[in-house]
Amino acid sequence: MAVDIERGMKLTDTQVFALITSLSDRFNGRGQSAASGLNVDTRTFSGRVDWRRQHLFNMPQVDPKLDAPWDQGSKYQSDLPRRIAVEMTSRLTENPVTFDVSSPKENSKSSAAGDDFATVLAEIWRDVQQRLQINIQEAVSMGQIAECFGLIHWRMDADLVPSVGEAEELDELPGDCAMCEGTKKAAGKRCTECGGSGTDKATAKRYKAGGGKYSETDDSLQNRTKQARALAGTPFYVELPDVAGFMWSTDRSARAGLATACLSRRVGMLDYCQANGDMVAREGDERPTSVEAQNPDVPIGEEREAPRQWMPSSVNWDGQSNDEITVYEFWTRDEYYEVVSFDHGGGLSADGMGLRKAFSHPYKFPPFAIIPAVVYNVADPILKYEPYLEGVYRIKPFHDRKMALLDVMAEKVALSYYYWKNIASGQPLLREDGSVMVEFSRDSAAANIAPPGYELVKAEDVTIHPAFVDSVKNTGEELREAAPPTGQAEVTATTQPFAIKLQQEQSSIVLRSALRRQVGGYQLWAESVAHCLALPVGDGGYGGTLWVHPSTVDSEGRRITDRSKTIGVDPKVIPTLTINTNISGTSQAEQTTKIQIGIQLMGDPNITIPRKKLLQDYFGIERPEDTIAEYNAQVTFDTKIRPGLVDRELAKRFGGIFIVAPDGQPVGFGGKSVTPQDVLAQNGITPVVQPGMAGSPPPGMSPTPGAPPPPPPMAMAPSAPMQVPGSMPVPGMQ
Amino acid sequence: MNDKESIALEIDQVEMIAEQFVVEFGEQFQGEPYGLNSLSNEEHAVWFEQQVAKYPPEAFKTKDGMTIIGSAWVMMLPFTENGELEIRRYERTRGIGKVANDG
Repeated sequence: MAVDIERGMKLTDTQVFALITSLSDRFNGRGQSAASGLNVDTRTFSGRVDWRRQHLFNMPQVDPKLDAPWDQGSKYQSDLPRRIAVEMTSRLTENPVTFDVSSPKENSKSSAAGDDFATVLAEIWRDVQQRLQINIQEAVSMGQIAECFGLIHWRMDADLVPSVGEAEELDELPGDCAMCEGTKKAAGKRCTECGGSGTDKATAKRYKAGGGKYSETDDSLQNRTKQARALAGTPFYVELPDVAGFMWSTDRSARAGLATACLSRRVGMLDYCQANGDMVAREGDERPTSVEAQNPDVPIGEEREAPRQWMPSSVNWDGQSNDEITVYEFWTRDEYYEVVSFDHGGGLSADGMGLRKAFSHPYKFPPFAIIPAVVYNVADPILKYEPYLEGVYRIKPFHDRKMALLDVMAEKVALSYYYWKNIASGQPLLREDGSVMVEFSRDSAAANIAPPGYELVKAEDVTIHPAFVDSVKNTGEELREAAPPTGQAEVTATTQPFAIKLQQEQSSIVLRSALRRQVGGYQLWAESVAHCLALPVGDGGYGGTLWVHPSTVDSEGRRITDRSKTIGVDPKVIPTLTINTNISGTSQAEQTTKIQIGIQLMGDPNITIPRKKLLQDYFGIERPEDTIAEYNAQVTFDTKIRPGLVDRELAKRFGGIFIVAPDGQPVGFGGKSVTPQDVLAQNGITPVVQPGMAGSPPPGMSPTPGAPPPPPPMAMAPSAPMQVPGSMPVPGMQ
Repeated sequence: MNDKESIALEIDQVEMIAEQFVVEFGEQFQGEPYGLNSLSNEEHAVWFEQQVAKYPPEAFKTKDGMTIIGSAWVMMLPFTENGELEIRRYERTRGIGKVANDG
């Protein structure tokens, strides 16, 4: 186990062990570790979370306990917690987190920086979830609903980002010119494409010649680095820790965040890692806790949390040697300590602990965000934070027990009871050895006649007392009423949109509160990320511009990343920006209802809300001006432009087209019969009006008597397609 | 967005719709039938000559200033959709141009 401890840490290992032990006593019970979850103690914070989960998963540990002889009956447990949790989570994750970044002094430059940083935050958010295969909103929602609170933890790991490489230096340039193929000449002359260098333009631009070598330019190096960094992903790690392993303390201080925070993780040990025998945590102990620690070439790191000990897979988790470790990650506002404890069996003492890592951190507070559901102003963490399903968990055990009992009783009374009644002359029905001579059987083949002196009598009907049935019903009703609303409205074919909206609003109060609290947590994350990106390396920050490839989501929900672009914001600008995190509280169902209401309002002459505002507020259109312009354009086109365009296009396309009908007359567009002269005139051929002949004079010629027009020029022959039978050019005429 | 920008946007939208409309409208009129095919070749030749007779030759001036003389009916044919076909059919029936082609 490699030990990595920074010099000048403020706490000694003994002090850290003592602080961890104190926290563990408070949250897991005295002398217990968070790992010791086999016997759930609901008087501890971790035990309370475990107990809730056992009900959520209908685990056998919380099966109803019935007295003998009914303890062999069915073990009924309500599925309500799971169903409500799934419905609420679906609703809470319906709309994604968005980041809006602005600058207090808004101008085109700062506005662009704001938009760019919003893109950077969104890409970090997307990247960590994709890379770590987690869904932050889903896990946080489930924490709020079912466990205790949502919890996110983040860290920056600049090692994930490729370093700025050295500028390349080459003896000759790669990449031949496409025109001269590197020969420097094209068609016997100097190649015009590459200017005679023989190298393609893009490559030549990246290098400058000097000293017999080609050195990469600064611009090229910067671009290459940007691309490499954007491709490598973001340097942040987000974890959604097991809430039952989280411990913390607060202080009377104006400083930000928790005073201390500690994550304890029970880590199963692969048999591979245990090959070196017993592991004892001591400073300098080199025994591995992961495959990678033993063989750095194999990328298998230390495992995440093992299942808690009451969980079904727990017993199979620790390999054949059944060893495990507990890792404690202890955070103060400026330092981090990682402690390993071999507390197999659940006990915790400082003797079994070893300090593995210790270093200072730049976050200014333990980088955790508690995203609560219901908060009471009490000191006890067990009582302070409750999940939305707490009411269900309280009533479920009573309901489960009554239901199990009811099932058993229903089984018992499902079939009638009979007995042999001695009618005075009956002999005892026992054999000498005491066994019963005549037994009841469900098998018809074993049917028997009543023994002499006995008659078969049906026992009085045994029924379940109605008061008990009522009691079960009442508890069931109370259980359902204890469930938080999931945002659903009861809708029939005649329910008016206003009535639906009212129901949706009322049943979404809890959900909106959950979303508001989530936004608060994600805002803390976003500001912490911004803080890290703005800090220089010497202060533990990122120390440069973080470059990302922007991505968009198309209309079908597919994410498309633009690898040709890199976006980043100068670290000096980041502190001037204001981040606003948001999650839309409007569900698809609510939006549909709002649109219906908007349609009603639009058609009501008494409502004087401008159309622009209706579109924005009820139709959810962000830029109603565009929509209104588009609509007006369509109306204008349909009413004013389209009819004229139809006429014009018809005339343009078909006005000059004639067909010769069987009567010999040319027929034009619309079936109108015209003369051959009309067809010729449309094609620029006009009759020549000779003096004394009928017809109109050609343009430019005066018909006035006394001023005879000059004779028209004559040509030898018309060009094709004028060469037709029955016509002839007039020779000698010009 | 002020009124001026809004109107400019509307006009742009109208233009886009109109361009698309013109393209789509043209596609609807492809393959329109036409016809003067019910006559036999001989009937067609007689019909052709009757039409020519109705329009005796006269002088016409073209756009580029040339003067031509001919029957208005015959000269109109190249500008009709089926005119070229009628000319070629008449020439085939009467063997016009055949000798020259054979020679």
